[in-house]
Amino acid sequence: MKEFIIKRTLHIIPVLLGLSILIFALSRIMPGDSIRLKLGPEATQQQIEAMEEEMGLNDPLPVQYWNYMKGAFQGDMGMSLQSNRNVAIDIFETFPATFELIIIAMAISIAIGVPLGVISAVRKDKWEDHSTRIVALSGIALPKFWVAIMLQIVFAYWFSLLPVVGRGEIAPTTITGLRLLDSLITLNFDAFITSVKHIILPSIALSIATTAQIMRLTRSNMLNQLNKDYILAARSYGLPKGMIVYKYMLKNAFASTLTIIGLSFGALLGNAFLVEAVFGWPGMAQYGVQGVIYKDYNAIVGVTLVIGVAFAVANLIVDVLYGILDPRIKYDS
Amino acid sequence: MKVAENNSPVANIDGISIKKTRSEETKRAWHRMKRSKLSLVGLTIVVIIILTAIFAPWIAPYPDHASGKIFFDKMNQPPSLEHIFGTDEVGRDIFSRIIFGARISLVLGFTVLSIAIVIGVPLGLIAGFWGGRVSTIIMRTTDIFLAIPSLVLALAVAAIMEATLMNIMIAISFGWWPWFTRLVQGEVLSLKGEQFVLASEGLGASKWRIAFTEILPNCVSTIIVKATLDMGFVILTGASLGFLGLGAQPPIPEWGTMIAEGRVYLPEMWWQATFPGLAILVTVLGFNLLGDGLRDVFDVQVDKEG
Amino acid sequence: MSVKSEALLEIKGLKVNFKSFEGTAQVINGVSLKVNKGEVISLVGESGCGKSVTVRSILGLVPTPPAQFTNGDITFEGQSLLGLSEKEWQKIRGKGISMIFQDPMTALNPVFTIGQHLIDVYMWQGKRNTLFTSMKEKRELRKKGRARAIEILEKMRIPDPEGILERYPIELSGGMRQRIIIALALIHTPKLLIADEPGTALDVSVQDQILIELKRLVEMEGISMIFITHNLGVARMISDRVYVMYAGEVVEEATTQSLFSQSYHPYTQGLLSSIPKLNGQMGDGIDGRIPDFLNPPQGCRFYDRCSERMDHCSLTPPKLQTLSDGRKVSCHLFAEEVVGIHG
Repeated sequence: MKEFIIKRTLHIIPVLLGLSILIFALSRIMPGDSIRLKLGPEATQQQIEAMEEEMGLNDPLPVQYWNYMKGAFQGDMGMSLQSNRNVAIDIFETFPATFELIIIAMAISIAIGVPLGVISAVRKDKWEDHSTRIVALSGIALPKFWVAIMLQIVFAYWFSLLPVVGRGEIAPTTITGLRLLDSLITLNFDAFITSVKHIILPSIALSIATTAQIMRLTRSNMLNQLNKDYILAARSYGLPKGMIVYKYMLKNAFASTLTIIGLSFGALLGNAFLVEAVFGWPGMAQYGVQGVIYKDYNAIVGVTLVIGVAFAVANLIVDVLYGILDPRIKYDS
Repeated sequence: MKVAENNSPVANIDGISIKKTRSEETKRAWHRMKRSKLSLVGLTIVVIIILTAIFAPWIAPYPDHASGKIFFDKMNQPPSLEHIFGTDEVGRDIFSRIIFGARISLVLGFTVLSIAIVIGVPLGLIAGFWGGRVSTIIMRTTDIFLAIPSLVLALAVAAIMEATLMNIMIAISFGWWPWFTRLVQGEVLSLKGEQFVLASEGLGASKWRIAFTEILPNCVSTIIVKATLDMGFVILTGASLGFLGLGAQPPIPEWGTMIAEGRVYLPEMWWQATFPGLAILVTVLGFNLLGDGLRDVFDVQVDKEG
Repeated sequence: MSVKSEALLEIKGLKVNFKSFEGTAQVINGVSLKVNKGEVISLVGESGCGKSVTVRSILGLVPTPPAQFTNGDITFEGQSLLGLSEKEWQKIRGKGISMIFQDPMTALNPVFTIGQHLIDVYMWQGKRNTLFTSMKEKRELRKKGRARAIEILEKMRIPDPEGILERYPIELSGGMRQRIIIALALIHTPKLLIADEPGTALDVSVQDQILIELKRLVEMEGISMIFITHNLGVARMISDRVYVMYAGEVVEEATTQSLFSQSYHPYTQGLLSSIPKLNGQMGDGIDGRIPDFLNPPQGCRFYDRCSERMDHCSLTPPKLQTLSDGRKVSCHLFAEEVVGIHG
């Protein structure tokens, strides 16, 4: 297992390095207008050149990249043009909000997607199957930002059941930055309830597509299992049907579903940009969107790289879990 | 030995497959397509949307509302018989704008996928067929492009350009071609050992010739299925970027942009944001259903599965 | 001829069709066979001749649809099986009738250990579900199951049974997996064992070893067995009686001894001649392939490939009939009344 993890990690490093070069190069193509935007219309050419010099924009590209990476490993990701702080600090403060949202959305997706997928497979071609499949197909086709808006209209504006935007005014003492967790640790139940209320709509909006994907994949993996010799064999030994479905088939099917869970993590990271924008969720994705609008290139590079790392780590975790569930993986290499 | 082998005795008995005739194959394919009602629904939706886009000026009740004109007398009207989806903050008919929006979404989808195919497919052929260092470089490059979600990559690329429809199409294509490279590379690897390829090789055909005349035609169905399925997702990505203000700018009736504009007037003028979203949903659903159906018809595997 | 004794399993005139887009395939066309208590029979034929469908019908493992049981009956200990509910089947499977699957690479669930396989089958065979068993009961059952698993592995002469229980299928060799599959089928000591070409996927030497083990165990425990094979040599080694199947029909039935001293049906003769001779000569074999099940020939299904075909063979299908020496064969060569008409 250890070898397996090391091998996977070694595979990630060149990919992330490549990504950093790609994104860095892209960001430096950006015309100097970001600085002009920052300094305002009255800025003189001299002021602009001085600032470019100060930020090292006149060095050759490889030197700039080297300096950037050297800094990044020491927690210096350059100055953000929108906040005038170091991008690393901004990301450190906004990341937990995004992380919390994604984890909750993922939990919802698995909790709903897997059982629905199983039901759909067990009741193949019955009404349960047809209705879940239609719901799932629509779930994948739904624009997430639009779902977010519709949820706001119905639950926040019309019925006033849940708040429209934000994470809530009552904040627990920051320990991990994950408010649900922090409020439980500090036994701050007011903050917990506020946090729950605020996270319900964004996490549902974010989870819909992933739920649908997981459901579809669980269904097809379960149906795949039906044709396996070992399932026929299990039946021939006189094992109960429920046991065959929920133990023998589901463990195999779930192991395959895990691969989509890794990919879904990426989709959630992407869609967080939309959902956070709608719900004014103070996370890293919203920070990234602001960065794009204000041409804040350090913020863009920083956010993109953090997302690349997060995505890679998520996939690594999923691979390890897969290895635990399905012993064949370890022997593949 | 499986029971299933007796299931279709024509196709396979005793491990020897009997060559099916072409017309028989088409008949079976159409049978599979017809059997799945959902894919027929998808086909219908796609056809309707394409026709709508082509004939938009004749279908839309108020064709001039697709522009930036202002109609003070009709501002913010809720859905009615006259304006079935209501009007926006400057009095334009939302239904007409949605119909014109179909043009933008389809153009965006076709353009992005064309660019992705033109770049991705040849690279996949080369990586799959030549192997060695060239293949390693190409496949590692796709790894890098796929290391972050396509929406995030498109955002990063869009950031360095002006927000226009053309630029947003370039930005999405930038992260989309690697999918086709991977797909084709995988397909080529599995086709490489097939009899007909080995036979051409034995006859002394050049590598380029084999790649483009023997292997590429056999990848076409897979590419078509993948492109159909992706069409919906590209449109969705385009609308998402439009919503974030990075795509086509007002007054162009792009669906995502329309939702972003309408959002300002929530919750009172709910129709402004609601109907363009439904248009996106139906369009994406249509392409997904059709893609699913085609996948069954051509019997190809395009999903990433473990 | 074996001494007539009580029938354990009897199949009478079984017909199974498979419906598909292309039409209806008559995959099993009136098969009758019988297994007496303590007897080992072989079912011999090429792949695709319906052996597997026949035996899977005995366990209720043929999915309907696409399959349709249009005619005939299967009785086990006097009880008809075809109308059973899934629950009733479950009681018979594993305990009354058990099956050894052909391919050791695919018949074990890759994500469970050998111990989990064996203990689960011991604990839950025939049970409706696992919910209403108390934890204490489960613990005891598990302990017993483990003991029984070790016992059966020891009987199969598998070294270090305790260690094997903790292993995953992928960690074992093909031969070892095949033994585990046999152990799984035997853990409840069934009355009838169906062996679907066990070991064909393995080396010949490993296969021989496993067959010897199997034969020994079956004799020791007094289990009846239906052995499926395409290899007449294996059938000769293992069985008391042989049924030769062709294209969904039984074409010849005889005791092993008499069949190998003289075979009647041209198909059986062809099969026998396809065994390589000891003098190094390759067998002749039979040309051609099994007919299309969708449009089976009007007459004898073997007509196209038969070396001794007669004109009327293509018109009238032969019936399985008992000859004067007590053997059964389905061929016009031996049917005097038909010959009489044309002669």
